[in-house]
Amino acid sequence: MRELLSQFGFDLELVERACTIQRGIGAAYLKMSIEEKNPSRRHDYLEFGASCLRKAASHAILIDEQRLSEKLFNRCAEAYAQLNRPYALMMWLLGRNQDSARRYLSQTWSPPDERERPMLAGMREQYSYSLLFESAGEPIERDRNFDEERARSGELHQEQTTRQRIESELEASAASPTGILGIPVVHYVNLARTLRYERNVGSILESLFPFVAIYDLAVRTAKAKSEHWRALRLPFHPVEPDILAVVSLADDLLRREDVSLSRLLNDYPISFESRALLQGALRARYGEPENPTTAFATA
Amino acid sequence: MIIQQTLKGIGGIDANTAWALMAEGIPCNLVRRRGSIAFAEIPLRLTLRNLDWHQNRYNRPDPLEGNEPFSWHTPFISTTAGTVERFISTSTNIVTPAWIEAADFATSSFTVDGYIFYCYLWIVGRQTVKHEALSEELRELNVYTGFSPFQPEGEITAKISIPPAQIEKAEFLSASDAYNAVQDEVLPVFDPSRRIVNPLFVDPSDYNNVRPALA
Repeated sequence: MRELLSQFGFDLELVERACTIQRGIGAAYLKMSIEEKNPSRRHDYLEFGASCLRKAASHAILIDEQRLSEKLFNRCAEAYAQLNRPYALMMWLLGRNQDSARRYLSQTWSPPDERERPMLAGMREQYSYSLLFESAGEPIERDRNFDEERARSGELHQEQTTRQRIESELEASAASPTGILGIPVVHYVNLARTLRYERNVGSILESLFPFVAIYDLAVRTAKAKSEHWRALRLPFHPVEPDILAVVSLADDLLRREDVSLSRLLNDYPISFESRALLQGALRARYGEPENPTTAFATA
Repeated sequence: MIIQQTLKGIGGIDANTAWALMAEGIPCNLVRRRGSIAFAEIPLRLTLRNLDWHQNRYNRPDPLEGNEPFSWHTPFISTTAGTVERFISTSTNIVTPAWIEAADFATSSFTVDGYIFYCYLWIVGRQTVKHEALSEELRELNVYTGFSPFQPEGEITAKISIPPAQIEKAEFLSASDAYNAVQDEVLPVFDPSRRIVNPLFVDPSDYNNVRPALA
């Protein structure tokens, strides 16, 4: 990643320093949130601390500190979980902490009572992450006997009802922008449905494309302002966690079928920079060498 | 009108310079480089175009200045009061304290020692570029509606010079101490023995309507 970033004109020394500073300030604010009595200030400290750690974790990917990155994403996830934000699932995903993510999902998957209308109070879009994460975890081939047993106990019905309710709530705000890049909610719902009901390479690539395309547009636009690009003064991170989490989720699934999303990204009509950044981040996630072709080259 | 507390980070200066800035005021780069400018020139410099360059093209060559960096000729002075940023990913707002940005400017990302000056600027909730005495609240999206990647810096822009009566004090920040602190996951602290309190400061709370910077 480092070599690539030098090519792109990023100041690596600046990124390293920014990583340390954001990590330190973020951790300090999370500590302050524990001691703070005022609930409003406590919330602000948690939110700010988590935001700093999120940036630090993203910077860590750029400087090839993958383990540090995962550790920071996990700390960040804990903070978002404290804030009752299902976005924590995306952070745990990047921190490769499936256990914590699943535990959190099981505690928060069922939305509160409909009469309270909590999903209309600025929280509805947050369920995009829950739906996506839950869909990726659902095994496509289920044990029929197991399902029949769950159907008899009413558990399966309850699960389907919950899912339908969340999907319908999200569809009500289908065009609402979600995440740093403002990706409409409908694309999260579409990808979730694909992962749940049509788990094949073609369908996954199709449903994933809006995420990659919007990221690519953001990268292309940012690159046009070279001074801001080099100094990382961007409205998103070059390895934007919102996108990287979704792409990693799909990659995790495809890898179970021995398919590499990193390689499939070559088929998307996106810029060299976007492709290289995503592929670099995915390779780092799985501890793969920088350039797989040279790893097998012989003299 | 609101009397807004703001912070101004200046790096690479010693205590004598900090004292001098409080005694004479904090000048814009144009005044600092030239020593002074003619009164007649001020209205010509205070334009929306220059304000946009100050925020978004600060170090770029300016064709109106013989392609010298715009920053050499800016009539504006950046300060920060912190900001609230929408974070759509978590459906929340992030409050960024003013000291973070000021410390970054004062120490150039914790690489040089510097001072953070505590100032009070007058703002009116509207664009007032031509009024030298009033400052521009660039962080306020309801006033400056155009997109800028620098909006989260929480900028309040002063003009020509910040008068001594509006500068309360300067806090010293050691770059190495600050960097060591964040490495240990604690916030940097100012050394109280190196704090400089400005005797020329006039406390604006004697009037009314002081709004503190976000902490």
